Amino acid sequence: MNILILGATSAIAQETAKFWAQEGANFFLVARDKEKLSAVASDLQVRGASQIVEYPLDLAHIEVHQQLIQAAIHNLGHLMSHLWPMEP
Amino acid sequence: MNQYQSWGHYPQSSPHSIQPVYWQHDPVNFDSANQTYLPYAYGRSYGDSCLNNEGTLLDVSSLKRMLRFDEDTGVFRCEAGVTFADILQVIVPKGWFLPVTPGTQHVSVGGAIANDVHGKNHHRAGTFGMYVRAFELLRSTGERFICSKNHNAGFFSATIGGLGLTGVILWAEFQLTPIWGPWIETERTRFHHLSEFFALSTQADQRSEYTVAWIDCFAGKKSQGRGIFITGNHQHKDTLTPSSIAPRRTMSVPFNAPSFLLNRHSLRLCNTLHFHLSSRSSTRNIEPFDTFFYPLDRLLHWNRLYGSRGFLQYQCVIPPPNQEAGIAELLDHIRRSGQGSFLAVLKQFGSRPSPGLLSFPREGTTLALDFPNRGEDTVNLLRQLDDIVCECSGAVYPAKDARMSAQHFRSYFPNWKTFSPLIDRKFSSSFWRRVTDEDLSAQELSTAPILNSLQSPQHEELNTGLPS
Repeated sequence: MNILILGATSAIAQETAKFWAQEGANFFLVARDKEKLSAVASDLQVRGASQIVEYPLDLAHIEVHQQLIQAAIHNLGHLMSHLWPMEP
Repeated sequence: MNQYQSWGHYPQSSPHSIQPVYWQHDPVNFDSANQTYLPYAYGRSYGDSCLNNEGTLLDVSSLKRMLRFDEDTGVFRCEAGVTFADILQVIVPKGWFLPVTPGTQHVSVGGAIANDVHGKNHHRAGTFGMYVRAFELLRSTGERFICSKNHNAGFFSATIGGLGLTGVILWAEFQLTPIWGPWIETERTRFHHLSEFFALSTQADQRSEYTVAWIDCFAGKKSQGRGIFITGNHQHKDTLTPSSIAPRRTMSVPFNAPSFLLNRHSLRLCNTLHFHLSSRSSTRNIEPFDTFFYPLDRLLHWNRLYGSRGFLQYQCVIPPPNQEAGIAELLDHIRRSGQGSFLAVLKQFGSRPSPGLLSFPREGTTLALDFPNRGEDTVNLLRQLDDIVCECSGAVYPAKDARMSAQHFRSYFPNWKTFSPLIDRKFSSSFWRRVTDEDLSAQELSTAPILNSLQSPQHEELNTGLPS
């Protein structure tokens, strides 16, 4: 299972990722703060994640989005799409 | 009632404010004038050692990230809010177990260190603090200290069993113990008198990793201290075990039960039934580890059974040579008071010393009971028990206490003078204010030795042997 998480240091992202980590998922984690990202990555690693790439980035910089997606695909091979229902 | 209470729901506490700590690297605001601080995770201490009435609680329950696990050596590092339950979920399938565990898996690592918890293997393994290799301590000055036996050793020994008063533990690293699997080979033996407990315990402690006894504290003089002796050993390599562990069902007590539910008659009946319904002879079994170690965890919020007035837990230790006479006198007082407990536990502690300055366990016999809160009657009984413990040169466990006197505390923990200078000046707790009576005289403290490490704290990174 290959998973890209944008905003990986949010509380809901951390808790959700724990379930996938137990199943040995590969992660590509994106968040602004490098230290926090590293703490989240360590946690998922101990809980059973197979491979984790930490990608510190401020997503407000739209110009690097394409580069981000390419890096994620390069590292993970392909991505699974998981969308939460959005408010109308 | 706010959610930041202790497990006994006594005394009730109203913190001035709650300050969550989400990330270990973030600065924590200690700027409030005239405000004291205390770390709080899940409130599993029974009395007021985890409370800071009218002060600030630093909620560290968000610090729940695991940081490193060396599956070859069993060295484990995690943030302070990680629970033992979380850790067991990760380590047991990999062939490792906690070196020491108390009777619930819902304690935080920080709390386990701050109370230097012990378990059914104390006679062999000692306390949890003995397996702590290092931790990071945040002081209210903003300074961060990596503490171990060799680095900032003063803070290390003061923080183990230090009731959260030396600063905030951010993360800790400790040594796990190897196991062959998740099963425990158990044996339960009924005994009919206190003297029989001591005979059984002396034998069983030689051959069993885990020993503990449930006792009927209502039993009359002739059968005083009767109960069920329980032993356990981790499964061996060749133990025949069931192919899988059935999922455990947990139930929850949804609200506070009426106070009259647990009265002396119902408790006496429960004790008598529990004793007589157990098998007459020894029974052997293979159990999953959580059934053996954490039977009460199956009933979530079991503390609500004691009603809105809560309950007081009492755990003491009586050192040799007064163990048998001292425990007999305690049981006699409890029986005559008519205030008893269903959860009465007896165990022999071993002699391995903890590094913690204020650590409670010491060689001797420990007795733990809980009492429904009946106001003055209960407090008076516990005061009488304190006097007996004091006469026997024993001690009462701060993590479970809500009312011991300052005088008794100083008698139980003579190291408090050495400990006091290492407390963070902005940290305090309801417990600490009570047992120091707010009058730590300069004269008393001036005789306390100041540890060298306080004068020259070491900030350098510690090499703990794990890859960074």
